[in-house]
Amino acid sequence: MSPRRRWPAAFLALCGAALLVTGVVLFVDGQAAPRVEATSVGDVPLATTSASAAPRAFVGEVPARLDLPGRAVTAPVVPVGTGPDGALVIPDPPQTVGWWAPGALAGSGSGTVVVAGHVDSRLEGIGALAVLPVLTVGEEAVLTGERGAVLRYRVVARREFVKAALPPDTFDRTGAPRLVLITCGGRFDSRIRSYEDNIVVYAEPVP
Amino acid sequence: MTTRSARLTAGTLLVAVALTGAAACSSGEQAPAAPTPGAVAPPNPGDATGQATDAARQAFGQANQGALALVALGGLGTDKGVGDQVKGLAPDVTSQGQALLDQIKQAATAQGVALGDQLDAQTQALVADLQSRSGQPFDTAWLQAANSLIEQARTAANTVLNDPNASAEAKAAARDALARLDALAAQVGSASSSAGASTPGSVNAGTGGQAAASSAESAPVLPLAVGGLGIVLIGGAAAWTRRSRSDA
Repeated sequence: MSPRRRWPAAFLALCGAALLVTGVVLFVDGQAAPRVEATSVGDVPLATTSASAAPRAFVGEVPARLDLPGRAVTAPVVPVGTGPDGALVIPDPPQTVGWWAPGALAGSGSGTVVVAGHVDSRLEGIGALAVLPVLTVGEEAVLTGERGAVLRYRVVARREFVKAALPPDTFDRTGAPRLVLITCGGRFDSRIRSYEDNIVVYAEPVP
Repeated sequence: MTTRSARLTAGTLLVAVALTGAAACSSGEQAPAAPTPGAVAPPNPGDATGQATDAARQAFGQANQGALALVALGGLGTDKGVGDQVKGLAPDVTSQGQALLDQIKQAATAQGVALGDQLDAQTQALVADLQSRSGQPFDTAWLQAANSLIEQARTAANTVLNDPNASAEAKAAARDALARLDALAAQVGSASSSAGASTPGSVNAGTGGQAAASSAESAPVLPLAVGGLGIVLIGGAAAWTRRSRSDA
């Protein structure tokens, strides 16, 4: 076979080998560093929007339970604060979620109600908020207060942020009322057993 | 909500001090003031007597609400605080609020402005919000409110200090207030960190990797497609070579 007739076969073989190697690398990388993917949807309600100044008879309640009826998720809610490392303290059982206690009360006329939970736990498996990447705009999130008030919110947006770049207004206490649900997402680093990103779902009160 | 009320009250407090100084030197040429929250119109509100101007009367009303909010915040902290941080700070907040209240009322009276003792709607909302809480949620919200109030007051004090039109008396008052506020801010900041009331910088909510693994299992499409195409091309090259040899 002449070299002139050989080069197309060699070219094809080289391209094929390159693609095969790329495919293997992608597969191995995907297995070594799995991800929780979440696409951005909807428009994020701005925390800077002024809340109504009108006095309200109902000032809100400490949330005791979270329901995501469309996903058959029910989770107890416990008050949490900020740890010495500056990170939000999340309840250990992944089926329990934490309400940032310095923030707005559930059903409050102003401010952000922040509820966060583990997407998963090494010892106890998948968490209650693992459904956040698949929640759709319009789905309902319901908080039940410790005195029985039922506060309904409607999902309006979802975003994924690098943990260090969580928007500063996420924990806003003065703007328009909204509910923010937070869990982890993005690439999972098995060496340090941590995700790189946060998945944040925004919901507004149902009038 | 708590912080908005705090912002309103604290942010105007120092401005009110500045305006008080300005009003004392004013000629009183402005129109009589409209009623403002917390401020009761004097029996003879006309400025022809050289009494408080419209702006000063409004500032007195807002400053009065600021001091009332501080007293209310301190009182609530004393009554409902559970942690050492809030229990320790609340009496200071009450005494500083009461001292400011007395100072403002004295200055207002000197200029013929009578001040009420009723909390405005926003301060009432602040109190109602805090009263709905108990235990850790109360303490942390109380500390956040205190933090916010002090920060807003510091901003107001700096505004007065940087204002070229502010009187020397106003600047001196702002400097004095800023020194006290800095000390209080350090106390409250430290207490907030200890009580877990500071605003989080991150959320670490996953240690297992199961959620990621289940996502990865369901979608290895791209690696398989790329690798598959590579195998097809290599196969094509082999077929080409075989055919060329057989032709030869």
